[in-house]
Amino acid sequence: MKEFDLNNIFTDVSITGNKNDALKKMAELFAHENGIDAKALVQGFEAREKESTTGFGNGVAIPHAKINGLQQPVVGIVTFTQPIEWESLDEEPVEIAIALIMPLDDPNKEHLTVLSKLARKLMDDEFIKDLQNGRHDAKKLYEVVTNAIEFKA
Amino acid sequence: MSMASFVGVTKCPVGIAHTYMAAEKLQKAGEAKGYTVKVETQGAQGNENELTDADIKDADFVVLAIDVAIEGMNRFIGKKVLLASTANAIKDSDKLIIDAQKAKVYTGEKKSAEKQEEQTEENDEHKQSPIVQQLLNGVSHMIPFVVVGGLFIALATTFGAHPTSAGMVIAPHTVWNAMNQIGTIGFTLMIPILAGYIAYAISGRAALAPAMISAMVANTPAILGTKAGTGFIGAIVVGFAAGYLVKWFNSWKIPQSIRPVMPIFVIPLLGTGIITAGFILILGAPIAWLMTSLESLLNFLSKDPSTSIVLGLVLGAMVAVDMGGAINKVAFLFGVASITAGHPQIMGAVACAIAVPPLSVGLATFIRRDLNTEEEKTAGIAAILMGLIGITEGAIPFATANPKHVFPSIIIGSAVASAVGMIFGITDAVPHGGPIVGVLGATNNIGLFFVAILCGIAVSTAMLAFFKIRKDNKEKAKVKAA
Repeated sequence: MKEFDLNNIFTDVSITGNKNDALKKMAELFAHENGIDAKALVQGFEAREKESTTGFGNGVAIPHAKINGLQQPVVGIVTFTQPIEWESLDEEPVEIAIALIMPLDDPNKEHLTVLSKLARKLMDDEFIKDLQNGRHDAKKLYEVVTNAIEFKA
Repeated sequence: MSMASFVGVTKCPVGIAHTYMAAEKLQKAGEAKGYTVKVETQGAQGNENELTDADIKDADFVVLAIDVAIEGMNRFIGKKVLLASTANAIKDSDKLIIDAQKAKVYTGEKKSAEKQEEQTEENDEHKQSPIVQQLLNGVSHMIPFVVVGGLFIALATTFGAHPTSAGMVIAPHTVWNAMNQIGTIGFTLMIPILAGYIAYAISGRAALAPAMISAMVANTPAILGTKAGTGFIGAIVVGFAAGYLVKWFNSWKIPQSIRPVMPIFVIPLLGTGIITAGFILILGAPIAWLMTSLESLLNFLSKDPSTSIVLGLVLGAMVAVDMGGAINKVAFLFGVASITAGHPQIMGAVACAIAVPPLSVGLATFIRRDLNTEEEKTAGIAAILMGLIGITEGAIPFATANPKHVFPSIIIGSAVASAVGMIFGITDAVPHGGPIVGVLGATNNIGLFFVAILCGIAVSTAMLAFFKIRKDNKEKAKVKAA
């Protein structure tokens, strides 16, 4: 299993409801795919959102959580058919959520370095544009992200 | 010293995403505005890109985009610190950078708001005005060029030159000739470096090219359409003009898509075009007119022997007023013409004044030496060596850094030296100045030649010392009162 692969990209997910419903749905999808406890994951997401919104603007959010016992980080993407109100910094609803799920105590700094590179990349307008253009196509999204950041197995 | 740079620290609760997003955004926004930016990230991987003492010292201000307390707050005591959240930085770093320029100075102590305010005001009072800081940034970058250029020329002239009616001539294809040329390159670069780093202090990297290129243009008579370039005074004018012009460009609302090419393409082209056009079209003619008028004045004064003292005073003042610039050139060329015409006492008077500015500013650093910075002490010794060889430019760093005190001192001192030279009827058959022409036997009376120079130095040095000590006393009084 890699930190980021096609199995963790879900395009055009239909959510009826608000941000919490979206987080719940995301937790279910990633929990199932990666063998994580869905309840712990949704709690982690919600706790982080309570501190401050992860919707940083341009229709993109990065909900994240730390999970006890996880072996390596998981990066996943969910795109929504209907934009979700996320209390974003620019007050625009979110169409793309990039989830960062990390082990609680990760001794491997390389994982964190990859995530920090991804975070920096999110400040690149071109990168965001590419994500938006590819939001209906999982393969395209995978390409955009892996072209920008080198993930290690 | 202002270098148009800032530092930042980012930290978010989890330390994997917002810390880096905020850092990236600050970095990008700052660089787009022409700042040198360094942002320390205190994330889950520990502290990265850590700020050094030098980074913090050089920074104009500090932006903290933090959601939780950070390590090492004490590092920022005495700096302007803006406190914001990572969300603020991600959303609008441009605004943070603008706000941080006006942020309060961090004192390191938790005080009541009132006390904090007092402290800030006190700090402001001791601080130099931004214009002085910008000027000093240019000067400190220029000094090494003046020192290398001046000392290479001085050594080459001392050991390799022989006096002729065409000036101090150094035989071609000798090591001294090479040294002289190297020194000349140092002096040539001094002008763009001064202008460039004044402009850099105002609006960062994008201003460097317009300022440096325009300063070269302003110092190139062939382009300007005048007989001489505008020397270091022109360089100061160019530096401030380019700096504030680029600052204005940076305030424009520019579409995101062309923003990256602004500092590397649009601003340099536009800035260089506007400033050089301004110098050539607007200032070229007045400078040429000024030079012609001064020449007529000198001609008029030289016709009547009874005004020879006035002529001396004017010549001396002209030598010191722009040290190698257009006005200095008029006086110098007038002296050269007098050699050709066979009555070299005008060159004699000019030669007396030439050494006064660098020797005086250099000697003045030895009076109450404790009041001088290390930079001034070094530049002072170099200035004395340059003065002995008749290189007036040695005083330029001092005059630029402290024009209010240095200009009156050296102008009056040089005027005195030339006037005394006139009274003694000193002649100089070589178009060059300073003690060296006396030692080489180009003057008619080396003893009186030195007396004239010493009179000028005595006046200038006394004035410089007086200004320096008075300033120190004033500051002491201020500290006591506070």
